[in-house]
Amino acid sequence: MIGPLSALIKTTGFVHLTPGMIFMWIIGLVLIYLAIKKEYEPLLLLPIGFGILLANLPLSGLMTPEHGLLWKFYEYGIHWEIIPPIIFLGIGAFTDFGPLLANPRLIFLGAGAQAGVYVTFFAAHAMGFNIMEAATIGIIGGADGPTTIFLASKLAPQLLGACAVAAYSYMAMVPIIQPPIMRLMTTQAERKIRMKKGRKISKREKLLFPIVSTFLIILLVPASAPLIAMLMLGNLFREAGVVERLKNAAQNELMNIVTIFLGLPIGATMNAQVFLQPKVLFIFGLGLMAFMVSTAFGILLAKTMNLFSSNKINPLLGAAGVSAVPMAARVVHKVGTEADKQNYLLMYAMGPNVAGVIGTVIAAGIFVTLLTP
Amino acid sequence: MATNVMAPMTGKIVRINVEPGETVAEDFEILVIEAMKMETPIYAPCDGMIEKILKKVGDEVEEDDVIALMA
Amino acid sequence: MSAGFVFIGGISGVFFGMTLIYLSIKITAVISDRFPERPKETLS
Repeated sequence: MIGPLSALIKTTGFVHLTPGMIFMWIIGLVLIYLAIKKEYEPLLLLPIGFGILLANLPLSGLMTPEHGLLWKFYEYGIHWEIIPPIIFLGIGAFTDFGPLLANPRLIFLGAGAQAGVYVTFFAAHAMGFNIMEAATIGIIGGADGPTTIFLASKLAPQLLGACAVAAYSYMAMVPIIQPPIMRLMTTQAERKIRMKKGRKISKREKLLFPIVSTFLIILLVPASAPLIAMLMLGNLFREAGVVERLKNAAQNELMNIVTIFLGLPIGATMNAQVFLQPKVLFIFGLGLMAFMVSTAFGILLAKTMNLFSSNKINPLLGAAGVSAVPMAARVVHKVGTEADKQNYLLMYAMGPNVAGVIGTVIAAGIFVTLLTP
Repeated sequence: MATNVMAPMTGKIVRINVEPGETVAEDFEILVIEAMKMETPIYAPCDGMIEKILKKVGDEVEEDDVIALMA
Repeated sequence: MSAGFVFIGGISGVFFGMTLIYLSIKITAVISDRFPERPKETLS
């Protein structure tokens, strides 16, 4: 009597639970809580949180290579580099490069804010992460979720879950992380600088930009092609004005569908054995540092540019070079209005903000070029 | 001297807090524009009286469109 | 590949890339200023 019963019990998951798994449930539930209650990037943190729960239920086989459902999502969606480029198609379809074209010199702020990527890369390498892992951790400082996932899947798949969660949760916390740094590094007078209006942008310029920049960027950094190609194709859909349906599909339906298949398997990579290691704590610490350094360098670069130009840039815009679109631009606008209520920085901040996205993709492309044999 | 209240960015007017004839002080929140999924309050550029409002709630405005006249 | 090389190469690569984009924006701007868009002619 006892024999068959205990055999039956052994087929259930209960006897295979480990304390680590239960701890991971708590992490998953916290992410779900943050997504629902605080609306921290709910579109991603909700499926990621649920994926973590699933990954830590024993015997489910969901992540078994070749057979598991979530493994298939992961393998064919992320490992085959299909989902991040599709997300970029959607981002391209709803990004207006107009503010960037109107004030092209603000593009350099988007480059300056990549400093955090490289400083963090260096710091992580010094702390003992191997060079591939260090690059993946560094790219968190670009504040771009799909790019982080793209790079992690290429260089350090074992860190994918932790880096993605770090990137998305810090992006949600941009309004908390950035303002103290911005206030510390700028004077009241600098925050009051009002930007001169940029030139008016014709429809044709907006149409030409995705085509010209695709050529240039892919010729320069061929490894960034998958992301840049899709980003600019999406933008061409938007600016062409004749494929409204494709534009809408890219930025709404398609984007929503792949978001589901992105979040769930990312969560599912985070099982207790992989995730509960001291180095994950370092990843979160370094990721935060990356965000802070990027913000600081963006501001510093804006101040440096002001030394050489009589047409002053409000240095707060440098913080928008961190590519969390559009959170960083909103934060710049908010901090700006604290100093001068009638200083409307939002549109100017969108320039470095979208430049930051391009900058992060280039940075990721360079990492891939230099580090993959 | 008449002053124009202009839209600083492309967006949609979601609220107008003043009526024609109302006197407002500088930095008073005249209206709110929604752009980039964020509501941006537009403040009075100077002390004065709202002479005329040219747009209504729900209108899409382009950058530099005149929304109201102040005297 | 040493970390120092990746560090320097990466930063300068990003700035170089962004400079190229800056130039491409400028060139597009010059071209469209030189050949302004004409409003479509209506058939009379």
